[in-house]
Amino acid sequence: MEENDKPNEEQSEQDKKQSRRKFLRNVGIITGGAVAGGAAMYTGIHYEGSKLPSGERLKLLAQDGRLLEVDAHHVTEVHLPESELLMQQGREGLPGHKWVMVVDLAKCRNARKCIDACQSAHHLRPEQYHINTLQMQESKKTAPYNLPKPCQHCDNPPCVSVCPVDATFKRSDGPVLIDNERCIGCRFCIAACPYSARVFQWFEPPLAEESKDIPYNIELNVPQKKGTITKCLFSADRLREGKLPYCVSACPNGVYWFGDEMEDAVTNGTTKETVKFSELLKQNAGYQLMPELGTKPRVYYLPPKNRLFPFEDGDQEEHKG
Amino acid sequence: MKRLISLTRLILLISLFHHITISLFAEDWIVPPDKAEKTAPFVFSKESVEKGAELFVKNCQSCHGDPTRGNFAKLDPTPEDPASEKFKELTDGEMFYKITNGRGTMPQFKMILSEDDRWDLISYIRSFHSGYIQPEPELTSMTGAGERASMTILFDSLSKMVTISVYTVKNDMKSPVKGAEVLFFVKRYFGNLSLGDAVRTNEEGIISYPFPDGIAGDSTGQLTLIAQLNESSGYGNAKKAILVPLGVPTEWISLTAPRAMWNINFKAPVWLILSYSLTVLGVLLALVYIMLQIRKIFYLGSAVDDAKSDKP
Repeated sequence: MEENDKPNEEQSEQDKKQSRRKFLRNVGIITGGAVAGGAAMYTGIHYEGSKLPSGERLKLLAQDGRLLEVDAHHVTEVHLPESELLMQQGREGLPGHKWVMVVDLAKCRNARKCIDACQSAHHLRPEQYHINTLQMQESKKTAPYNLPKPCQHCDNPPCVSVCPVDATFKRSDGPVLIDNERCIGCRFCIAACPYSARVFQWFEPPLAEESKDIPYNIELNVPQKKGTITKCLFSADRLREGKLPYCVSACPNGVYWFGDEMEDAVTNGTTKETVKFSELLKQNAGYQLMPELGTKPRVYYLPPKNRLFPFEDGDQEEHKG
Repeated sequence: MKRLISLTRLILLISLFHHITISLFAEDWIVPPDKAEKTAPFVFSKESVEKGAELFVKNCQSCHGDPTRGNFAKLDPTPEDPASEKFKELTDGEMFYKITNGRGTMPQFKMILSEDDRWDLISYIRSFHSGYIQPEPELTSMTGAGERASMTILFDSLSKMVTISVYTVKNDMKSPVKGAEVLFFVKRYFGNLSLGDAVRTNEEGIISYPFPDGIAGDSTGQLTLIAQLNESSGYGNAKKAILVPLGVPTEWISLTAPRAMWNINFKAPVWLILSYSLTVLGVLLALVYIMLQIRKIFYLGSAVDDAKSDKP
């Protein structure tokens, strides 16, 4: 019997050893997991916590001279590099404004100055358009006209809904912007946009070499990045300076009106005339593109009535491929 | 073949439009007689021509080309060369009117160039017209020639009345200006919104101006009202801006305030947050349940093992 017992004991000894090893391994896995999870939770909580108000208010003088009151918890000392500053202000937008654009189709004669200004400001290739100019003819007998179609900066933007990484976003003052540093190039937004307003950077953008040291400006999308999306930004950088967008001020024919819905005023980029936004739409039967989709565009159109130029084709043969 | 057809169709269309536009513009650009008689308030000089040349390059060249070269843009109606006979035949007043108001593809420069700028431009254009003799400047006909008037603004927020008094100061004596034209604007982000035609001062040099309804102000209805003397009435172009609470209060609600699919995670629709969290929670609970069951099986198994090893 004793002889028989021995191997059994050895067996159980071995079993014990093995289960101890197993136990140690399990403990290792569990502690590792717990530490990782805890760390993730801690950073999460810390991040969320930083957004909560503390109740203590501080008075601050803003760059533009306004006196602001800010929750003490939200105050961080600004030793930010310019790139981060640009990123921060670009995400926040200009409070108190809601930008709108009105495009008068009766005035457009396809001069393409808006496109030139836009492409040079945003470092685009000649075949890339933030403003598509379409030559429209609804049916055989209706009159043709030119239709400049920038991003409509929807208040209910389908492109933003589908972005998986929060790269494209809606701003409090209206523009829908894109952060090229977050963009992963999935192109969901291109598929989602009913206005075909988005462009993908398939190739190295022009001026890539020259602009590689410029801090990235989210309001201008410069420097552009290969493999990401670029789109019309309502020239958010110019709005901050109180200037009209690049395209609006470049138009020689008075096609574009741009302004602030809150002030109920739009200013013509060519004549610099300022009129009431609501009256301009009312008197000229202003409309929106595809409002039935519920996208709530911020760009309005005035119908191509009493056009002052002959409709010409062939100007832009080279762009048709 | 298809392309050829569409091309002929296009040519047809273009010629059709050409006809329409030509018939539209067949009538001349008629300038009201009183405006056509207007003359410059100063004598054209070398300086005014130089200034005009600068302004021309900035504002006119893209369509009108270089004077005498005839390289104007091919628009309809044609912009024409400013050195041409057609321009020479115009009176100074007509030219001034056309630059000021524009028509069709010719933009209006009312808000872009000051009156003096527009006259400088005309003096530049005239420098290409041989044999042009400038009519006597209108200086004498203007009552306020040389005198620059000042003004004060008062407002009454109850009756929404703005009172302007225009006066000139000579030897510390204020004398009211009668018949001075004042233009009203409201300051907007990209430019000044005109509130309509100029208003003239009465015998006492005063304007009582009812502020129009429906002009948007800030959240408390504040807005900046600008009163400016009309340059053409000859008392200079004094300008006064004042903050008045006469606008319609507007409340700014951030466009990112509402809960929506496109908003950041925190502002996602409640149903989305709920269904997502519940789903994740459900899956996690199911996993925990499975783990517990496995643990149970493990213990049952080891109990059986123990029982087996105990047996012998």
